[in-house]
Amino acid sequence: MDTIFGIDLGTTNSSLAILRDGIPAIIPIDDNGLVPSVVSLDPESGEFVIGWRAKRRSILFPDYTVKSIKRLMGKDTMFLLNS
Amino acid sequence: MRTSTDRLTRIEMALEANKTRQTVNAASSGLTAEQSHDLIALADSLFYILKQFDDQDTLRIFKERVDAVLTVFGLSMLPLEDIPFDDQHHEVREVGSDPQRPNIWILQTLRPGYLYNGRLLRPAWVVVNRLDNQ
Repeated sequence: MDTIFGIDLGTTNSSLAILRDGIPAIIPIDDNGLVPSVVSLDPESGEFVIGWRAKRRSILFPDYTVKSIKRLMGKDTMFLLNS
Repeated sequence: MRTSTDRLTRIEMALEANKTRQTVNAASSGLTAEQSHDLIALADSLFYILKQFDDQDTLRIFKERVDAVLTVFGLSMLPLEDIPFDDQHHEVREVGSDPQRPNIWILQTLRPGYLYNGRLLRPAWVVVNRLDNQ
């Protein structure tokens, strides 16, 4: 049986759903169906964090955080962190 | 190597775990979302009033007493200060610079955060110390 996933890649928030027995269900990430479309790099550990954690630290590390990247997808644009 | 079946099984388990957690949370304390909201609003109000006195001992005693009440309902207030920033519990609202305090530590809590049965209910809004320009 085919499994169908749906991804809503939004400018501000994203979400992921699965179709089970004809019924769509949101897959929670970090207990939340909505995930901010944000990625942040921890400058000390080198770890990438995404979603809510990335959004919560975006003011602290603005040069290491990427938001609203959707409008640049598909374009030949490189985003440099700490540039 | 992970197969697509493995991944699907993991997703199914995550969905079931989330459903179970919601059921357990609802049943464990008998606290409705509205009651939880009211309790947090009350604790917030007391926090804002006491914060005006700018007295660390008063705030510490307040937090101990509020925690004693909230714990009965499965709620707890996150620590207010003297702790490092943690993006799993805190949301940075302002960045400050105090050479007397460690880097990436919380200087001030603007709005308290809460846990419900150990899980984040609402992140704390905080001012974080940033000493360098990394």
